[in-house]
Amino acid sequence: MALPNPPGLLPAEVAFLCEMEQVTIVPRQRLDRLDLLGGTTRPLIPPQKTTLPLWLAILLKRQRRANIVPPPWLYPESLEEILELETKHFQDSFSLPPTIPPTRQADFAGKSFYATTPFVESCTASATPNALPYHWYEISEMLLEAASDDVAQPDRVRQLLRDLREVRLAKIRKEVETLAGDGEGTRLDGVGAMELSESRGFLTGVIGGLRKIDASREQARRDREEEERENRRDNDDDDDEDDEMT
Amino acid sequence: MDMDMDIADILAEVSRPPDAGSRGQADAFSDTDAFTDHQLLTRAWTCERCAPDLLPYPCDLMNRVMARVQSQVSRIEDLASSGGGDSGTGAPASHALNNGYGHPHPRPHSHKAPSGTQNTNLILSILQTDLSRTQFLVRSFLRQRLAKLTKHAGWYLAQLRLQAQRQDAGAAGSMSTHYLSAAETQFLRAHQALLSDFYSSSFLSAFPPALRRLDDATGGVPMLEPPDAAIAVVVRCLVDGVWSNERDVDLAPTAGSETGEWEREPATVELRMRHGEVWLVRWRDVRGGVERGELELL
Repeated sequence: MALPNPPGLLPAEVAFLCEMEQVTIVPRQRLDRLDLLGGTTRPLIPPQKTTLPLWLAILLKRQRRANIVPPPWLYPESLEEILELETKHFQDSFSLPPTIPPTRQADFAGKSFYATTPFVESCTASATPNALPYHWYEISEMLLEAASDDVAQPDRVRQLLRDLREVRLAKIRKEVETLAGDGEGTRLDGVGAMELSESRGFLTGVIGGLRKIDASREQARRDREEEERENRRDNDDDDDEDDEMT
Repeated sequence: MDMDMDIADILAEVSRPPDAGSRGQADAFSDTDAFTDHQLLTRAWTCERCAPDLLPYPCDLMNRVMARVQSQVSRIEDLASSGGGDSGTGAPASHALNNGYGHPHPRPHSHKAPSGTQNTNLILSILQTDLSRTQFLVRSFLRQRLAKLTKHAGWYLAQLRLQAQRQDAGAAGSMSTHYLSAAETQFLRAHQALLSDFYSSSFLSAFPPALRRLDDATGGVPMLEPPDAAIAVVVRCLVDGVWSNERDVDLAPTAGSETGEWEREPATVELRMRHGEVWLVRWRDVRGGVERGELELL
């Protein structure tokens, strides 16, 4: 009954999540709107471009009912540019992910929440060409597998993707040097979903081990901080407000 | 045919459950709701899969999703039984009368469908795939929660007892967060009862009475092990501007008992992050942010 999997998404689950990303397609046949549990789809009228979740796009593609328009970053020129960024400009961190403005939506009860991947468009034809989205690896694998005839120069793209993957995996491995058990946190901006899924056990394991080694030192530090906080609260509240303003 | 559908539409409107109307929202169960609920369910699933601890049970969300799944199942059955041959997608429309949820779009595939067997089959396979995907989300979500419940059964039971005591004392009120659904509470109680019966009949009865307790806390080492709050998790900041966990840090350990919350280890390290940043941090420092929907677990 209970799910025995360890915490953190498995690669298959990451792929499942990625299949909810929106992609642009060119339908080859008409299809009326469908009321799906994942939201209503727009009617398909060839040759008008429209967006669909990846799983549906691939289902239609396999039956030759649609063509998929690959996202702008999945072209050899864009990937070359990203690889250049990844190796020359961001030697210690991942290249910047596409900027997604915070979008608020209201739920059934009117309470607002922030939309996020895979429900913000980062893989449609209007995506940023020189940045890798969160699900870059899975989506490019799936597109190359199911719709390689829609991708320009698929072999060159495959090669570049492999290069990118190696460069980025090396960065994750290097990240270990900066890990610490003190709980201050480590920045992983721009990390991909699959990269995280692969390295999660390792990263959390290292942090857990360091934490055990550092336990006594941390206790001392925590006590000191607690004291400082007490002092600060006692001194004056104006300071606090200033802090928040900056 | 066309007229039939219109009548069906009207009847479907009338036969909407009264509670949906009383929400003051004419578009209850509209397609945007399906989409937002889908987003929230996906988020709930990801967070539950990544968090070491149980998150509050999204009761309303799950009720809505299950209602929608039910009506979708009968819609698919009707569509399949109406015989893939004709353009008779009117069946779901008339069906909207029978189910209690009043599906908002009784004309799913429109009257002028180009149709043919092939198209009906395509629509069926799309609807079924979509249904299976949602069912997977729900199943995986619930099973993950069961795994956490059984792993720390004793501790969660102790929390439930504490919460009940506080509510009796009138301190909590109705504002306390519900971490467990009613079914989960029932499962937890039955599970633990069976387990302790089994333990006592198989070996505990041979022990001296003083050593038989399963929740012993003598010697400063409690037997009930809470979920590890210091485990490392990965979060992404969702809020606009700067997020900080100041208020979680300031929360004194005793504050929880006044508000009827569960006993939680408070945040210990002050963190600040900006929108879109991804951090590898400790669960205890970000739990507040995740529960308030300001951060998401990755």
